[in-house]
Amino acid sequence: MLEIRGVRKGFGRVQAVNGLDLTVEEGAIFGLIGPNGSGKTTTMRMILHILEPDEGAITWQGRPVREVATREFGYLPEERGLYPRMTVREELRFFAALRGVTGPQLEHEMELWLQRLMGAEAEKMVEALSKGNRVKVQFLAAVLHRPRLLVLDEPFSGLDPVNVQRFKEAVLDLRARGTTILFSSHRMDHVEELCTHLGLIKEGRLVLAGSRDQVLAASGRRVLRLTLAGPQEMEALIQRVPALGAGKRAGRSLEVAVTGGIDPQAILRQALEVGQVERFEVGPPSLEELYVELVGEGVPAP
Amino acid sequence: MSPWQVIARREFRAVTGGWPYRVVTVVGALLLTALAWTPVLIAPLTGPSVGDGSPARILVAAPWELFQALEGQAAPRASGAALQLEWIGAELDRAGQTTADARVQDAEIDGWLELVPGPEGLQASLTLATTQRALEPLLRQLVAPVVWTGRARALGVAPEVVAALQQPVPLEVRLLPRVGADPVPRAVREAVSTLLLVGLVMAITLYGNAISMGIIQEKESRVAELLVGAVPPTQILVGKVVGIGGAGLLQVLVWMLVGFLVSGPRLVAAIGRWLGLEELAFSPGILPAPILAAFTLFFLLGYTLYALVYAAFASTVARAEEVNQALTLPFFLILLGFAIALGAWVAPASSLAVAGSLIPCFTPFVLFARLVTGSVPLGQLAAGVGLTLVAIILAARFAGHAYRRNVLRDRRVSLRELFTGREPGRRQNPD
Repeated sequence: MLEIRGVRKGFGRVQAVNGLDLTVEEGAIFGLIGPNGSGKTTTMRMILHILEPDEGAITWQGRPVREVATREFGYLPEERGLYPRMTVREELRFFAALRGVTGPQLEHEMELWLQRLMGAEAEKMVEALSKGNRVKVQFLAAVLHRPRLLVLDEPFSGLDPVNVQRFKEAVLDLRARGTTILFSSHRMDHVEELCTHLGLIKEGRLVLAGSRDQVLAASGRRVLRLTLAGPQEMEALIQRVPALGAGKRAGRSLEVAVTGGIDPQAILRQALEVGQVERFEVGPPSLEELYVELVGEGVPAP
Repeated sequence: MSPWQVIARREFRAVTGGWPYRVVTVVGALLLTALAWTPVLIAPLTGPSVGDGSPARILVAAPWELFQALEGQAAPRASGAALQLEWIGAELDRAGQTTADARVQDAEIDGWLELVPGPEGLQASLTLATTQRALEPLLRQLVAPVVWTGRARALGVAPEVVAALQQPVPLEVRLLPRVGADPVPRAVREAVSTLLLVGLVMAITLYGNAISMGIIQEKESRVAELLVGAVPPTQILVGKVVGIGGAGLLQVLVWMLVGFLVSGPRLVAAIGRWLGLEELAFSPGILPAPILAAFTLFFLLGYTLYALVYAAFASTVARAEEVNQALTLPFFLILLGFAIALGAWVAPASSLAVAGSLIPCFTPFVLFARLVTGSVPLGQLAAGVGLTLVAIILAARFAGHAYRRNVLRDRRVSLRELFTGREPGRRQNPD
């Protein structure tokens, strides 16, 4: 378990992290979200003991991170960088050796990962790789020593959709092997899809945290999401239930907050009378909606 | 293998793997060979020939029988001295003398000699190019027997008696070196030593620069964050200093080995015989082993100290364009050390030289200069080296802190902040 207790870190007059308390359970995929400048990267660097907190303590399994970070943690920083004049394999062997991992086990593990993520690109010099492939090499450099905690700072930036999917699968595989994963992203759809737990940081403080379902339900609101066979059918439904006009409509789909004037079951019956219903869902607002709401309009006291 | 060893190995391979390293190693070895062979190389410039291997041309104006006698004297020596005598007539009038002078000045000939019989015996005059002054003793030796023969004839001495008197005196010559005497001309030794000192300064500066450029490139390329995420910053720094220093040490050892070999008496003698240079009386030992060892020791001390200081200063900048400015202060210290070392050359026991030997940032240069020019009291040597080692330890701590604080900064860090660790009260983006 990763525990952050009362951590503060300042740079000059700026208090980047201001009394942060956070717990990441072992085996979780924890999404750390927050606006630019909220202290996410500083927090991650302190977890990795790249920076030292001005106050507070960070422990992993009860031990200070300075004792365990280099061997037991893996890190994919937001800023991408590798030695350009090394081959992919040389680069990976170098970073694994820094963590004391060498030999046949490393070679075996490396070949598996290279086949999975790099293909023929594994034979190239790093300077000849595309940006996306460099990200993959960095990701492999962060996981080849089998870290118990993997910290990923904006892991999906610079990747095309196919590679984003491969990355997600890789992250889920690592979790299945027992790796705890902490990652930050501005892409709320990725966070919502992958994370078991979430934490929202704003101005260096944790303002919201918990399991994904807890966080999503934290607003207490519910949203009705409805998709019909065509736009005409949706138009007909809105004429029958004028309260739906307040919702967000996109062609044959509609999303509307469930309030006192909206009865989801009554709307479902009306929709079935109008035509074929392709999607009907009542649930919490999406993470993106929640995020915009919380970050954009001020966050309620935790 | 420890993380610092992994980094040291990578740095070592990165430096030694490129062609510039191999080229510099070979060129350095060639330069050192040239230094060791300086006396041989400069001998032709100071010898009696005009430098292109052709014999010195001397025009002779004298009665024909005197010229023949002169040539007879010159014949036994000509093979060694490479002297060519040319008869131009019994005598030269004023115009002929002017023409001969002009030919000397135009480097067409090396000189001209005139022998004129007179009422008081032979009158001899010699004109030489200033660059061929070394020919004067030889020509005196040639002219003297001819003059004596003329005088003997005037005195009625039989030619056989004169010939017997002029027989060379058998003299077996042995040369022994004097104890403590410098076998190499002092000027040559000083020139070679100065070049070694310049080489020391250059080696320390170049490898210090290699450290600073490595740090700034890793900051620019953002590899630094991956590294500090995997290894404590102090170990990164140690790995860099050891790896790049190892590459430098290997290069210096190659140079010193070459210098030692080409200065070895047996090898030098063998090469001298092969080149036909036995008669140049070349004395090896211009690069004695203790000097080569001192060069290696002071390179190690100076490099380690300045590499750490360079690393600390290089970590304060974010772009390669700024690194030269950041390194101004340590580079100034190197230049100052070099200047004091040059002063120590002139006065090795002066207060400035002694003080410079004990100030760690100057010690490598000043102590080396003093060791080359003469002996240094053992106490001063030990104190200088010891203080430098202490300074290296302190520099390692300073550089470790600076590197850790600044390696992820993407803005310029002031000197005040570098030394105090206090950040200025200005806004910056922490995320």
